[in-house]
Amino acid sequence: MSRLVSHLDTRSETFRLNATHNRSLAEELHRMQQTARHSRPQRDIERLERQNKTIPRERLKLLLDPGTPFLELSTLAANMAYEGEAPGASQITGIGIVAGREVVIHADDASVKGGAWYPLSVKKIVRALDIAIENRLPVIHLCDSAGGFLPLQSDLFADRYYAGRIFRNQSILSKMGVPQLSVVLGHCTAGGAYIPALSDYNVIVRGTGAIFLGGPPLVKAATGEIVTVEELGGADMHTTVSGTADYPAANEPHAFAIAREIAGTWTRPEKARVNLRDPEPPAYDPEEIYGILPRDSRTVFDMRELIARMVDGSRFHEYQPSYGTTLVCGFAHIWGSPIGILANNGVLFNDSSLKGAHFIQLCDKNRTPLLFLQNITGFMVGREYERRGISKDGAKLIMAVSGASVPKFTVNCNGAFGAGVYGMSGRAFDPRFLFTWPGAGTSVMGAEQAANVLSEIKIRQLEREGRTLTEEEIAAIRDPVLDDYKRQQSAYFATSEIWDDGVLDPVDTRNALGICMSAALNAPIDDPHYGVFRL
Amino acid sequence: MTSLFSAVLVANRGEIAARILRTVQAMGMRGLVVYHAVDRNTPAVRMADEAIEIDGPSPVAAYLDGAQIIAKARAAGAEAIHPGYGFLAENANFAQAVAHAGMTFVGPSPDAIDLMGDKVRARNFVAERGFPVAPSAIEDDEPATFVERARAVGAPLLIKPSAGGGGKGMRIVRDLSLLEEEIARGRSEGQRYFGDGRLYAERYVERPRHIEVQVLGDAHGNVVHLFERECSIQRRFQKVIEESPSPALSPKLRADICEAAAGIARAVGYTNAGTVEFIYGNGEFFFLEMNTRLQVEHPVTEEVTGRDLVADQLRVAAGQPLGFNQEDLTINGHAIELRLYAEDAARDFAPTTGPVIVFRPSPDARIDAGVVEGGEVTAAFDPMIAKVIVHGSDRADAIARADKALAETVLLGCRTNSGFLRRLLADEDFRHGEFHTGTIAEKADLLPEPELSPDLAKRVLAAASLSLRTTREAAEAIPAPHSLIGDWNN
Amino acid sequence: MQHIFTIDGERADAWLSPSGTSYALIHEGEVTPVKLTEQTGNRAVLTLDGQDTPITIVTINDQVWVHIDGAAHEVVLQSAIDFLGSADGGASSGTILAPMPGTVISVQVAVGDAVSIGETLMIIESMKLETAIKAPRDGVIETLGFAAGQTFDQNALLVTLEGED
Repeated sequence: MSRLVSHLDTRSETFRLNATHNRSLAEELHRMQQTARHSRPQRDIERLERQNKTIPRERLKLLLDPGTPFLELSTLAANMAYEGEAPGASQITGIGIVAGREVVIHADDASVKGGAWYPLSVKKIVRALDIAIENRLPVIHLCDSAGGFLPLQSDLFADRYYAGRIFRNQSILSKMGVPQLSVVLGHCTAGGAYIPALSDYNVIVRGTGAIFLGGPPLVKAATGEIVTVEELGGADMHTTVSGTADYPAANEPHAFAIAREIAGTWTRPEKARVNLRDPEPPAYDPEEIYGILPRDSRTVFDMRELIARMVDGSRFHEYQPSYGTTLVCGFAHIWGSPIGILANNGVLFNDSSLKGAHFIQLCDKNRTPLLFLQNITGFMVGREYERRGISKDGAKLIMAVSGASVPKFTVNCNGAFGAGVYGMSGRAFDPRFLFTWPGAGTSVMGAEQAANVLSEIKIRQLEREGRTLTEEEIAAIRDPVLDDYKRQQSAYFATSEIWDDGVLDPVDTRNALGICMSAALNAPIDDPHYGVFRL
Repeated sequence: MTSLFSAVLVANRGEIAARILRTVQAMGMRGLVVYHAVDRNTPAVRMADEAIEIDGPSPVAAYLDGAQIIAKARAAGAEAIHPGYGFLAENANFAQAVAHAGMTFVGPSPDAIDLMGDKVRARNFVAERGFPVAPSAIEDDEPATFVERARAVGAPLLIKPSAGGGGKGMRIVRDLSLLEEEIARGRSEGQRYFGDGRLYAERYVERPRHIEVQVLGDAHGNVVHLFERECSIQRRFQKVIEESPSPALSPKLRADICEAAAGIARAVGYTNAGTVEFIYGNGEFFFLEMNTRLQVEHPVTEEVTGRDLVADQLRVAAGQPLGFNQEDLTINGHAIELRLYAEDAARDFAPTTGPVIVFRPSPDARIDAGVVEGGEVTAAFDPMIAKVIVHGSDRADAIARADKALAETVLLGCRTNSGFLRRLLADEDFRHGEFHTGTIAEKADLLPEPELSPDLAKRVLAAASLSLRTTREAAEAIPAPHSLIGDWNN
Repeated sequence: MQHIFTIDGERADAWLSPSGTSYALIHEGEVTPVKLTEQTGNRAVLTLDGQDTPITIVTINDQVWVHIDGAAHEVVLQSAIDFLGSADGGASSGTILAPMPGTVISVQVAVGDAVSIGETLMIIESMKLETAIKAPRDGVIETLGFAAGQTFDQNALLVTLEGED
C-alpha cells in the first residue's frame, strides 16, 4: 500500500499560527481533564481518608494491569451542567486491561458528592454498559455511591434510558454471556444494590462495603428497627448469610487482588477475524496535526494530511480518487487493524454521496470496519442539486451508514453540521465510539446562520408591532442568541451532554482508535444486509 | 608409597568425612564411610570406595553408635577408623573398643583422651606442671582465707557463686578496694538465688581472644607444634572465622604460647594431632583446654605450614615417626577459614534448611563442603555447609581472597551466612585485627542483611520476573495493540 | 496492580510488561527493557538497559533463587490475595463459627495460647466426619466456646482470636 505524500509546509506562517492555536486548545483540554479528574475539595479527600477509602483514581491503578493503556470515556461529562458541581458526572468509565482482558470499567467517583448519581451520571453509566453490550466487553463496576441525586430524580429515574436501563443492561450482558464483576467499596443503597446483585461476581470490602435496599435510617423510619450498617448489609453478613456477595476482602487492595484473579479466569472471546498486520507508526509526525487544523473551522484543508498522521506507515489506498472528490475514501490500517476511512474534503454532493454509499458497502462485504472523519457543513443545496436528487443520494448514504454491519467509529475533527452529521455516522447512527476534537462543534447549522434565523423571527415580530430597530437594538437581540448557540455547539457542550464518548487531543486519536477497534472485534460481525436504496 | 592401611573407615559425615577420604584415597588406601540414610546424598557417600549404611533412633544417634560402627567397619575390612571431629572423636571408650576390635584408632591414646576430657583434671594437670592457667580462688578450699586468696588473684576479677549458673550473682571487680564489699554482695545474691553463699573467684580476661595451637606427636616421643590459629570471631560459642597466624601475637608471644602448647603435649605424652586452646588478653594467655582430635579449622594450619594433617595423623597412627622437626616448620603467608552456615544471622542465627539446588564452589579457594548439588540441608545436624579456606601472601591479601571466594561461591536453595561473613570481612576492626570473642555480639549492626540498593533490587526483580511462569504469562496475556501502546491514557 | 514479590522476606512490587518481542520491567515508576539469556548450568546473562550481569538462577514454583553481584537472594512471587488479605489481619475476623452441628472431640489449645495460621485448634465430629478447626490467622486464643465432649449447633461460636496478629 503506497504512502501518502504530504504537501504540508511545516515552515509556513499558516502552519505556525495553526499549531499555536490548536496546541492551546489541546492544553485547555488537558487542563479541564486534569481538573475534572483530580481537583476536589479538601474535605472530600479527607472524608475518604477518614473512611479508610482509596481515592477513586488510585483504585484504577490497583485494578488495571500496569504498563497498559486506559482509554477514559466522557471525562468531561457534565462539565457544563449542575454549575460544574459534578465533574465527570461523578463517574469514571473507560476501557482498560485487567489480567490481560479488555474490560469496560465503571467506577463511582466517591470524591464527587459521595458518588451520587446525577441524571448525566446515569447517562454515562448506561452508555458504558451500551459499549459493553455492543462490543461484548466484560464490565468491572467499582461501587461506592451515595445513591440517586434526589433533587433531580425526575430526570434520572423513570424514563426508558434512565436508571432502570443500568440494571436492564446488566441483565442483558449476563444473558449474552459477558461477565460482570462488582467490587463493593462503599455503600450500594437502593437501586445501587442491584449493581453487585446483578453482577455475575462480586467482592465486598469488610468495614467499608455495604449492600442494602434501605440503609439504617430508612429502616428505622419504616419499621422502627435499629440496625447497624454491618448487620444490615456488611461484608460478613452478605458473604456468610445472604449470599448476595461472593468474596469478602480485608481491604481495598485485597479486593482488587481478588477481582484481578477473577478476571483472569474469564475465557477470552474469539475475536472477529480481520486481516491484521504488524503495526507501524505513521511516517509523518502526528504532532503536525496541530498545524493542519485551521484556526477558523470554515477554512478548507486536505483531510489526507490528517490521515497521513493517523494511519500505519501513512499508507493509504484511495478509492475513486478522481470521483466525488469532496469525500475522500480509502483503505488503511491503524495499530495493525484494517479500516475503511471516509473523510470530508468539502460539502457532500451527489457524486460524493454515491461514492460514500458504495464504499461503505465494499467495506461491509470485505469485513473492514469504518472510520468517519467528520469535517462537514452539510449536503449541497440549490435547484440544480435537488433536480439531480441530492436528497435521494443523501438517503443512499444514510441507508448505507445505518445498515452497515461492520463496526463504525466516528471522529468529529473540524465540525459536523446539519444532515452531514447523518451521512457521516453521527451519534444517532450507533458508531461503536464517537470522539470530538477540541475545536470541533456540532449543530443543525452554523452559529451565524442559526443566530440570524432566530433573531430574524424576533425582529419581524417587533416590526409588525410598528417598531423600527436600530443596529444596536438588533445586535442586542442577535448577540445573546449567537453566544448561546455557540456555547451549545461547542465540543465541550457536546461532551458535557454525553453526545460523544469524550473530547480527544488530536494526537491521542490514533491510540484511542487502536483500543476501540480492538474492543469492537470482541463482538462477531453480522452478515451484510441493507434496507432499500432509493435508486 | 606403600599403604599404611588397606582400608580406612571414616566414622563421621559432612565435610570432614569427605576431607578425610580425600587424603585416604590420595595415599592409595580404600576409603570407607558410614552414613545414615538422611546423608545418602552427600559428598563423602558419593566419593567413598564403600559407603556403609548405619541406623539409629535418630541420625545423630546412628553416628554415636560406636558398637554398630565398629562391627560394620570390621565386616568391611577396615584396618583403621578415623573419627573426624565431634561424635565419637573424643570418646576414650570408643578408641579403646576400636583397638580391642583389632583396628587402629586414628587419634591419641585413650588415656590422653580421658585426661584431657576431664576439664578439671586437665586444668590441674597443666597448672601443676607450671603452665599458665587463669589464677583462681575457691572458697570451699579454705573459707577463712578466701578474701585474701581472691585478692592475690588480682584485678580484674570475676566472682561467681559456686552453685551458680546463668550469670546470676556474677560480678566483675576491677577495683580491689571494693573486693570485700563485692564478695559480701555476691554471697548474699548466691544465698538468695541458690541457697548457697559460697563463691568462686578467677582472673577475668577483658576482651578475651581465643588462640589455639596445633600440636602433633608420634609414638616415638616427637612432639611439634604447627603454630597457632586464632578463632575469636565467634557467635554464641560457635566459631565463625579462623585464621593463622593470629594478628594479635608478637613473635615473642607466639613463641611462648606455641612452646607452652608443645610442652603440655609432651607432658601428656601426646600422640597424633591435638589442639591446645588458650584464652588471651592484655598480654597474658591462660590454658583453657586441649582438644584431642582434628579440629574443624585445621585447614588454616595446613595452608600456612604446607602439611596435610590427616596424612600426618594416618602415618603417626600407623606407628611411623613424624619425619620432620620443629625447625622444619615455618609460617608461610596467611590463611583464613570462613564457616558457611545455613543460618539467618538477622534472626539470631536461627538455622535454615532447604534443598541445595545449585552449589558451585569458587574455583579460587579450597572449599571443604559437606553438601552436594541435589542434596539437602536438614535440621538433623550442625548447620555448617562448607568451609571456605583461602591462603594469601599476607593477611590483607587473604581477606581479599576470602571475600572474592565467598562472592564466587554459588549456593542456591537455602539461606546462608555468606553475606554476614562478607560484612565481617569488610569490618574495619576485623581488618585491623582488633577483635575478641565478644565482637560479633557487639556488632549487632552487621547481623541484618542491608536493604538492597534500588539498582540491585531492580535487577533481582527483573531476573525473577523473567524466569517465573506466572509473571511471563501475565505479560503474554496483554493483547495487542495494548501491549504496543503501553502506558498511555487520554 | 503490580506483582507482589518478597526479596529475602522484604516486599518489593514489580510488573513484567511485554515490549515488542521482548519485555520491560515496571518498578518504582520506571520502565526498563530487560532480557534474560539462559546459558548452561543455571547460568544466565541478565540485560537491563543494555547492561549485562552474569547470574545464576533457579526457579521452583513461585520461588526464585538468584546469585547476583556475589550474593544469593531468595525471591518469592507472593499470591496477592493471600499477601494483601493477611496484611491487616482482616482476611479472617478471628471468629470461628461451627460450619455444622456436632460434637467437640478434642481441644488442642487453651485460652491465652499464641497460635499460628493453620494450626489445629480443635477437632469436631459431625455427620460421622472429623474436622480440624484451624486458626484462620496468627493470634492469641481469646475464648473457647466448648470443651471436649460438648455438642454445638451450626454457627455456634467455637473459638475467638484476639485482635493482634
